[in-house]
Amino acid sequence: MKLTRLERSWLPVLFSAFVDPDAPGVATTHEAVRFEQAIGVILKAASFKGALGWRVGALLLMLSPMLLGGRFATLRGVSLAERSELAAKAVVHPFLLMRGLSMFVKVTIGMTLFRDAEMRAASNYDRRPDAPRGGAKPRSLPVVSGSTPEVELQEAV
Amino acid sequence: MKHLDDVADFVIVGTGAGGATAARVLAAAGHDVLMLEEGRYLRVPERPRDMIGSMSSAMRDYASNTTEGSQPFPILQARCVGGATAVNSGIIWRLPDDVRRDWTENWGLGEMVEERALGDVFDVIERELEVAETAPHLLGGNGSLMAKACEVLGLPGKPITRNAARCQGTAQCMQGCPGEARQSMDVSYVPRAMADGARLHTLTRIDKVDIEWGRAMGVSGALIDPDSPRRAVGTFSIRARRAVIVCASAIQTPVILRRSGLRGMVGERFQAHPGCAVMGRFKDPVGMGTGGTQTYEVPLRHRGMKLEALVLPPEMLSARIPGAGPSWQQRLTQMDHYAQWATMVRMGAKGRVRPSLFGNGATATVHYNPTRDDLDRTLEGVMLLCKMMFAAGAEEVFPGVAGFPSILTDVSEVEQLKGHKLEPGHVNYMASHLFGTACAGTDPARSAVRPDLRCHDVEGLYVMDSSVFPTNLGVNPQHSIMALTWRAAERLANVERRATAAA
Repeated sequence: MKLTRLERSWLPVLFSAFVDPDAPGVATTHEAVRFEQAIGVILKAASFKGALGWRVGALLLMLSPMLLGGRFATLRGVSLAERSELAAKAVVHPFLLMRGLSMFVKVTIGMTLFRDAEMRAASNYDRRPDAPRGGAKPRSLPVVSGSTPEVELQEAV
Repeated sequence: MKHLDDVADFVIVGTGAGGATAARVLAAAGHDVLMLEEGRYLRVPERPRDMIGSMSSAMRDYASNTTEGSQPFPILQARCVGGATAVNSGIIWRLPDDVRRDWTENWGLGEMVEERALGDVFDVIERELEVAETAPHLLGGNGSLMAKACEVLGLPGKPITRNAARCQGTAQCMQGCPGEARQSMDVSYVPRAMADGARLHTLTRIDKVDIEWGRAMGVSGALIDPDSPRRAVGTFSIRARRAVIVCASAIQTPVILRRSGLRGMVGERFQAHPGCAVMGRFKDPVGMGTGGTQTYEVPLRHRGMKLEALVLPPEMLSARIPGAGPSWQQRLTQMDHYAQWATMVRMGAKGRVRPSLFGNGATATVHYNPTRDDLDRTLEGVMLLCKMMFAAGAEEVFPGVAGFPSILTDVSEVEQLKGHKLEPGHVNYMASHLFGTACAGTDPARSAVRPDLRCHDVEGLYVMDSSVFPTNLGVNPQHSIMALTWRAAERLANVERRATAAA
């Protein structure tokens, strides 16, 4: 299931609810970490139910100003600070549907973010406990897999 | 559309702990063995290291399938050569003695799990798969802190025994051990069976076992597009001269058997060890990314749970860190200060597995609802983990229980969890240990396969994976799957050898 044009237009808004590009810390833009491409790979690999769940999660987050804030607006229509506040509320919400599916969106953002070597270095995750802070070098990780040689099935066919 | 025809003495469906072990034993005994695997053969040097690439290539449906019921939770399953052993932490536990006795007394499996014979098989597997206790220098920050907590609280913790004696401590078990130290089936029993003459077809999805006149004649299914696991590019029919051995997991095995027309107890008695995690933030760097992925554990079988230190890569750890926006981003710069431990619950609940009405031959619907006792035990485990985090020196602890403060800063706050009645949906479970959906036993009314793991009603059809376990174990099942399979495959090899000689 490919994303619709409307769903694609949500991606920058959803990303900005979790990651403010101008904030200190681990900060970047959705274009820099290729969020749309990453979501495409994830939804292609996910089950029908999983892909549907991600879409519903994205929709719930887009409607969170109404659902959680009591305002007649979508996430696009509120400030960055409000977006973050609503997203933070959604991922700990008592209702499993809201919490679980918005958490699924957060997981995909985390996966996209730390696929990027610079972001990973900024997180200090790979820093040895005795190493100086901020000294980590970006580690280059292979991006989404290419084709893998298969055992000679296709030749056998 | 392409079509593939093939024939072998033994056709083995699946290459995880069960399938690979069956292939290793039967091929070593000189039989003609053909392994079928739905996923790819991911060679270790080519396996993606990032989680998106790793999960999309090795995990079934990106781990996005969930149970159905009051508390839906994701089921983690691999889809690649090696099955779950190619993505797990290689934790090795022998079949607990109380479980062995229960299976002997109540299920008639005495011969299969006879103490001495089973012990001999465990010994061989442990030797072949380089099983050893995790060395102190490989505990890593996450495991070392758990050891410290156990020391402070007097808990019976111990370093985990794994099939990775040559582990270099890169904490990348999930993405495929970079040094091939972990002896997952894709680097051990599958190549060994192939060296003994076994063959392997990857990207083959079994739709059903072909049964004629009460005998399994072979299997048929679809050839899968390497770039799109749900798209078929052809079909295949493979004939089995001696037997079909289904080792496709406690979810896919009953789906295949039911699609083949088997009923009765097939798909019933689904059991699991669902788990959930607690995280802590420490003042000094922890270094979660160092050491093995899972290096320390606290077995509490008498309380129906097991606690484990569990390293997550930053891609997944980040989602567990509370918040969104600038406060989250600030926390993300200190990812080396976090530790994560999980409680795995030996749940009493029993569910069922059915083929999905929609979707292809492998798609399943899993109905499962934890009982009140299961939820209480989960809360007990979460509380204990929170106390352990504080005992190890955590400044903040994240219990991950909905409707309860998401950040605790003092151990006294943990007690308040006691008054919190955990309801379905309050914690985020995950499950990877799955059991019971084609359980073994003497009584056909209570079981799907006989004690020798042959289906009650069908000649030449065997099940050799955790589906045959009548109960869950309370410990990691890989070693028990391999040992039971070894016993059954050895017996089958001898029976067939005698039959050939007699003929």
